[in-house]
Amino acid sequence: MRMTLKFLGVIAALGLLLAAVPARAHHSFAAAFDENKPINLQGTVTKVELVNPHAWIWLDVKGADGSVTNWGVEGGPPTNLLRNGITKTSLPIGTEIKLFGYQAKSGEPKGVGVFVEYLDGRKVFMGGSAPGADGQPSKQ
Amino acid sequence: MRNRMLRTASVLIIATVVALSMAVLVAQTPSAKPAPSGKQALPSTTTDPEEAIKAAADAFKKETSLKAYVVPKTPWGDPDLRGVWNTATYTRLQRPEELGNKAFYTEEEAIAEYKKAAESDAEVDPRTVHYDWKEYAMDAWQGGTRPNLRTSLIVSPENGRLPPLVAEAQQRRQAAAAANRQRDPAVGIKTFGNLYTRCVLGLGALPLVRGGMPGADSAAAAAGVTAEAFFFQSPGYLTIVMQSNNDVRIIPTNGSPHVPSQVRTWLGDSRGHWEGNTLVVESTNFNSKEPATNFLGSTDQLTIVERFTRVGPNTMRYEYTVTDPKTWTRPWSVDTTMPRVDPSLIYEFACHEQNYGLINVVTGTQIRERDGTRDLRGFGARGDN
Amino acid sequence: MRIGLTAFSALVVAAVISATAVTGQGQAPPAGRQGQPAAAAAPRPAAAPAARTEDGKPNFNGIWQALGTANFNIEAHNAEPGPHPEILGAWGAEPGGMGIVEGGTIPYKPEALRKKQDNFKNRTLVKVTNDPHRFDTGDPEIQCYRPGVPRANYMPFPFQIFQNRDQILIVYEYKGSMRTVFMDKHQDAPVDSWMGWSNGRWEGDTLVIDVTGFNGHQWLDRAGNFFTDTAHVVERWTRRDADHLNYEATIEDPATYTRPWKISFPIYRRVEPNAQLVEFNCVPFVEEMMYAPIGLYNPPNRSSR
Repeated sequence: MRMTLKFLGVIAALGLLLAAVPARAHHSFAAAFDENKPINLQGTVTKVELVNPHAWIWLDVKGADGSVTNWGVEGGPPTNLLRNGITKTSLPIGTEIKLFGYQAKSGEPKGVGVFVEYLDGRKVFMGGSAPGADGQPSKQ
Repeated sequence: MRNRMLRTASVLIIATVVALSMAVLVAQTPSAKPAPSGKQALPSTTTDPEEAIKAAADAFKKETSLKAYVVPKTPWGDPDLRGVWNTATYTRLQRPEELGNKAFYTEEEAIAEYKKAAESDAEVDPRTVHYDWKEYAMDAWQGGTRPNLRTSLIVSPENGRLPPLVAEAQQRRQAAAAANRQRDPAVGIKTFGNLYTRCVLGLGALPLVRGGMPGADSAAAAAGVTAEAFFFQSPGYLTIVMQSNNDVRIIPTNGSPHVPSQVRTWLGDSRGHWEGNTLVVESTNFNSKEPATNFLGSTDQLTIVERFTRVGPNTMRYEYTVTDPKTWTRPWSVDTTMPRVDPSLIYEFACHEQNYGLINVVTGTQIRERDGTRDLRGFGARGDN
Repeated sequence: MRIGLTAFSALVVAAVISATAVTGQGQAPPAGRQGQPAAAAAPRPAAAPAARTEDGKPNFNGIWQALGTANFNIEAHNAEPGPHPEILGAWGAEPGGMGIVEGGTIPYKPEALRKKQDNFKNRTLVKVTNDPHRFDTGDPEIQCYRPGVPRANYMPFPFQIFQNRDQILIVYEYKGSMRTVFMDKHQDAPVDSWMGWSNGRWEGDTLVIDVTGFNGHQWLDRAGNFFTDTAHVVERWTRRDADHLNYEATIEDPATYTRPWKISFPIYRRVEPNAQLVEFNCVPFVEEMMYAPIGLYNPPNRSSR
């Protein structure tokens, strides 16, 4: 219930502010995605690329008709995650995740992941911990 | 087009109604605190803004009160500038006009300003079509940015603001703005001068610190992204490897001459020499970067003189003077500090190799160009280099 | 007797001073003004860098470059016309070379050999996609991708080694590719990369570097030789004399080869007084090749501003 309310609240807040100038200067980044095509996906991780300038998570998403589409979802750069102890093993292949984001303007099965979470609501990256992750924080 | 606008308007109206009723719930959701359980502990200063603000204020007070700090030396006898230094800041490049000639905050004011900026930063995501900055530890407060006694990065001119533009620079800017307002059916990678999106250059290699947000120009505002500079010293050289795009500057520190004038590069040619404990680095020979510009609209006649001085175990003083007779009526200078980042290593940033996003960006831009919905403020207007 | 002692002491002092001198470049002229030709300053004879650093280790600081043709093909090969001879003629031709593979041939598994042959056939086939399939064909070098290890060490470009006790930084002129070698605080690669994760140690006077964490997109040369993300490279760097290094690398990858195998070649110091890396940012050189076929490269249709 709390998660649904939070999601709705975020969607509402986003609706208010989409016409505003983004506070960050990634104008060209936003051009890639369609503010009118929000996506809610749930699927199985097939590949995690901790690459720059943006990390990519690939996941198999089962459609209502049972067909499987492999979606690619763009995130942030991984270097600050690495500084905080998140590594290439932190999100294992086969993990079930869900995400809210926006689809690519082109209509391809690609998008930007605004929130990326485990099924129980914990954040995949800086908000929570990964099951099976054994990394230590990199600060010494 | 009209249907799209009506649809967008209805979405906004519905969203407003929903938002008004949901606003309380959103505000009360403690998204800053980490979710419980799991094996991996994350440092509280990267997950909790209040912890980060406290740690930043403590570090700020400690390192600004050091008296007669003795700079350690490298094994070969140079002042030791080594380490990874954080180049993000909430301090604006230009002093807000309402502050007039007030160049310094009190310590309490500085911490209060920082707290305001950090809390606003922590709250703002994600209200846009963008991944959540905080989730990737990209907010400046998550990277160890500290309060600053100065009210602006610029210290000269005295009003803390950029000097006036020379006439030809004003004309360049007007022409660029006019060109940007036109539709461009042939828009493609080369059209916009966004060297960062193309992975030609990273954000903020030279100068290193450009000023915070909100309200800063686009290059400065984005400079909080992966805002780290790795200083590697060896006999006769300071090599700076930026986290962003792994831009590399190899700086001879023995006063050798600049390269010939025919040799012009993206990062310029940097030559250093020591003045006491300060490394003075002069950079010239910038290329022209068309259709982008050099730093803040400048030309290939740009000269930047930087001064690096270690003033504390975890603090580097960073000054720079910018001169371009084809852009500004007089040189202008910045004086700021960079906190240390641990551990002292830098990661590979193979930007161009895996720049999948560029295809989405340009394709999206082309579609918006056809739709007439391209955001003309987006790119190229100021040369995001 | 006293004079003799003083002179002897002076000699000892002088010997001690010169023995402890590290990288020396002699007296430098004042920094040049913007854009003035460097020919205004006479070339300074570079003092030979000291053989050892302050902590007694062999000194690898300096600007280095491999000679030879390994970047075309690390196995022995004859001269070839190269791609697009109808445009490039002798410019595009590839010289022959004796190879750097000890034993002559790379011990591929049969299916990996077929992949190498496919790589060769498609070495100029650049098909850019916005997913990992973009790495299916085309030499990474032609697209200005990072060359990986060991290939970066035998590209036809200089590289510079910067040596500290706890880390060694190597910057390659090609694309400014860099790698850091951790001499302590070794960890497993937390992330995969093009240049790999390098953990180094000293074995006597040999610098041994253990490289893992490759992303598997690397090629070893333009001939399509390759390995995967399970590759493990162990480099051995030694000073042969003041201006030469010996380089060896053992390469193993159970997914690709039937056994580990070795390459070796000398590396030469760039001794000219004004030796330096000159920025080689090849990204703008490849954008048309990469993005025009998918309709994303259009030159601006308005006058330059």
